[in-house]
Amino acid sequence: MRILLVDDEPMVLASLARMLRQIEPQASVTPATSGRAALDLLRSERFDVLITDMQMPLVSGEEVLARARETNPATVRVLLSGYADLKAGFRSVSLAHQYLAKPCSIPELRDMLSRAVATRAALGQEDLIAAVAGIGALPPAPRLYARLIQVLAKSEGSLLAVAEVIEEDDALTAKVLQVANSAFFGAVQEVRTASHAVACLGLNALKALVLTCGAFQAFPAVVHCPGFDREKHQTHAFLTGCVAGAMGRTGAEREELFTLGVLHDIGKLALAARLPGRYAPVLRLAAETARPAHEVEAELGLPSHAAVGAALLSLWGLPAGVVEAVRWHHAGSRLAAGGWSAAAAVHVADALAHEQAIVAGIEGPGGVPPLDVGLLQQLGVLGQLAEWRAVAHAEAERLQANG
Amino acid sequence: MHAAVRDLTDFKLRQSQKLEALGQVAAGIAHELSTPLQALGDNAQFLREAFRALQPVLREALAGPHLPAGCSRADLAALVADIPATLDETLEAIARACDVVRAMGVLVHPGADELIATNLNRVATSALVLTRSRIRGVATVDTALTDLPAVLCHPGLVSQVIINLLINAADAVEEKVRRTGELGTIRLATVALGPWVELSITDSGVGIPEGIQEHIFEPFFTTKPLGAGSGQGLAIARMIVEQHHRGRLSFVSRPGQGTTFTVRLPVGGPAAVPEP
Repeated sequence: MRILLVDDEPMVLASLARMLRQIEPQASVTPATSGRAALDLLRSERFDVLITDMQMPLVSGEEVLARARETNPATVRVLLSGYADLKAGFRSVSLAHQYLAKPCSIPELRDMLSRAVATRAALGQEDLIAAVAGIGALPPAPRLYARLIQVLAKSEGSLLAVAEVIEEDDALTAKVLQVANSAFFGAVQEVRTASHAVACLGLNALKALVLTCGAFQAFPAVVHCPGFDREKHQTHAFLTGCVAGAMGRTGAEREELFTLGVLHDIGKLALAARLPGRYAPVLRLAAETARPAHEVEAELGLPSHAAVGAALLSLWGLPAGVVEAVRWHHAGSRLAAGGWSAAAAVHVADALAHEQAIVAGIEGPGGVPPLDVGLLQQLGVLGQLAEWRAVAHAEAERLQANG
Repeated sequence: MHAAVRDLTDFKLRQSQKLEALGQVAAGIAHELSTPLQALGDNAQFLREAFRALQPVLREALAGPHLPAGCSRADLAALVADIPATLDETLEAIARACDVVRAMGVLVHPGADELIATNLNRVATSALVLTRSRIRGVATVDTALTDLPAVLCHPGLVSQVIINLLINAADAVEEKVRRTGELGTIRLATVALGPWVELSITDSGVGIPEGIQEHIFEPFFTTKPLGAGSGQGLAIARMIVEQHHRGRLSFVSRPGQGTTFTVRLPVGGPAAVPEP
C-alpha cells in the first residue's frame, strides 16, 4: 500500500509514518512537509491513500484534497486535523472520505486503512475504484433535493422536518451519515439512522452544509444513464425502507432497518451516475432477459451493485453494520446460513417492494427474483410474510396517492 | 434604566465576553496540544513495540557468557526490566492528556452552542476529566452512568452546568474534609425516565443550611469567601437548564450530610415540552 502523508509539522510526519508502518508493515509511506510538495508528488506518483493535515501555509489541506480528487480519484482521501475550522471543515465534507481528529488512536488509523484496503479489493479494477472513490456526493432525487432546500431556507425550520426529507433518499442519507460519523462532529458513538444523524448535526450546520457549501450536491447533478430513472430509484428505496422498518421489533430497530432499506441500492445509483457507459448495458440486458441486475452485473464483468454500494459506504466511514447489510442484501445462501439479520430484512423488504411495483405496472415482471419461500422458512419468518406484504401494499398505495 | 439593573446588565455582558474569550483560548490550547500529543503517542507506542521486538535479543545477550566491555550485567538486567514499565506509564500519561484535549473538544466542537442530539454520558465524563484536578485530594468519584437516549440539547451549555455543579460539590466536600480529615465522595449518576433524562451529582459535603436553601439560585448570592465565587454559577446553571432547555434543576440537601443536585432534561429538546 502506498501512502502519501502530508503535514507541515516534521515531528508529526516522522512519528505518524513510523506508526503507519507498524500497523501496515507492507506500506510505503511518502512524507510531504507542505501542501505544495504534496501537489508535486500527486502529479508524478500514484498513491492508494492520502492523509493530510488541514491548516498548512500557502497550500492548505483542502487544496490538496481537491486536487487529489480531480487528478488521482482512485486515492482514498483522509483529513487528519486537530483544528475544527468550521468553514473549511464543511467544505472538506465532499473532498475527504474520512475525517480523523488529532490526536487519533491506533485503532482509528487501523480501521481507516483496513477500509481502504477492503474497498480496493472489493472493486478490483482501477477505473471502478476511481469511479467510486471519486464520488464527492451522489445526485439526490431532484424533487427531494428541492424540498430540502425549501425546508432549510425557512427561518423557522425544524430538525424533524429536515430529517423527514433526508431520510427518504439514499444519496442524502448516505451523506448525512458520513458527516455525522466523522470526528469532525466529535462522533463517539455510531450513528446508524438518518434522523439521528440530522439531530447530531443540528440545523445551523445543516444549513451551512447544504445551502452554503452545496455539500449534498453532485456534479453533474443529473444521472444520464439510459434505463435508470432517478425518481423511480428513490421511490423503490423509500418503499423498501418502509417495509424493512415494519420488521423491527423496537423503535430503534425500526429506524435502523428503515435507513438500511433506503440505502440498499445506493450502489446502483453510484454505477449509473459514475459509469453510465458501462451500467446502461447492464440495465438493458436485465430488462430484455427479465433477470435481476446483480446477475447481469457479474456477467458483464462488473462487481455487484451491492458490493459497490458497500464499498462506497465503507470508504465514507459509515458503521460496519450498515455496510454489511448493504453488502449482503442479495446473498441468498449467506443470508440463509446467518439466520435472521438486518441484511435478511433488507433482502425480504427489497423483494416485497419490487412485487408492489410490478403489481402497479411501474416495473416489468421477471426483473426481480421472486421471494424465496424456502429462505423465509429457514430464517423462521415465513409466518410474518402475509403481514409484511400487507405493509408493502399499503405503503405502495400511500406513495401512489401522494404522487 | 435603573442604575442597579444597568450595572447588572453590564456585568453580565462582561462576564459573557470573558467566557467567550476563554472558550477561544481553550479551543486554541486544545488545538496546539493535539499535534504534539499525536507525535508523542505515536512515538511512545512505536518504542514499546520496538522494545518488545528487541527484548529476546537482550535476554539472550544477558544469558550468554560475554557482554560488551563496560556493560554491567546488573545494569542491563535492570534496563530490560524497567523499560517496558516506563513506556507503559508514558503511554498512560499521554492517554490522559488526550482525554483532556478530547474533553475540551466537547466544549468547543462545532455545534456545541447549537441544539443537537447529545450523548449526555459523554458530556458528563468530559466534565469529570476537566474538573479532575479540583476534585482530586478532596473526594473520590463514583459514577453510575446508565444507557441514555441521545438528548436534544446545547452540549456546550449543559457541560458548563455539570462542571459548575461538580466544582460546587468539591467545595462543599472540601469544607468538611478540612474538619474531619477524611476524603469525601462525589457521585455522578445518569438515568433515563421516559421522555426525560436525569443527571444527578451527590456530594458528602457540608450541605446547605436550611435558612439559605431558598436563596441559592439568586444571582450574586454566595457563601464563599470574597474572590472564591461570583455567586453566578447556580443562577446561570438554572437559567441554562430551565430557560434554554425547559428542564428542571433541583436539589435536596441535608446540612452536615451532603447535597444532591439533579438536572432533568427533556430527551426531545425544549420544543418537546409545552411552555410553562
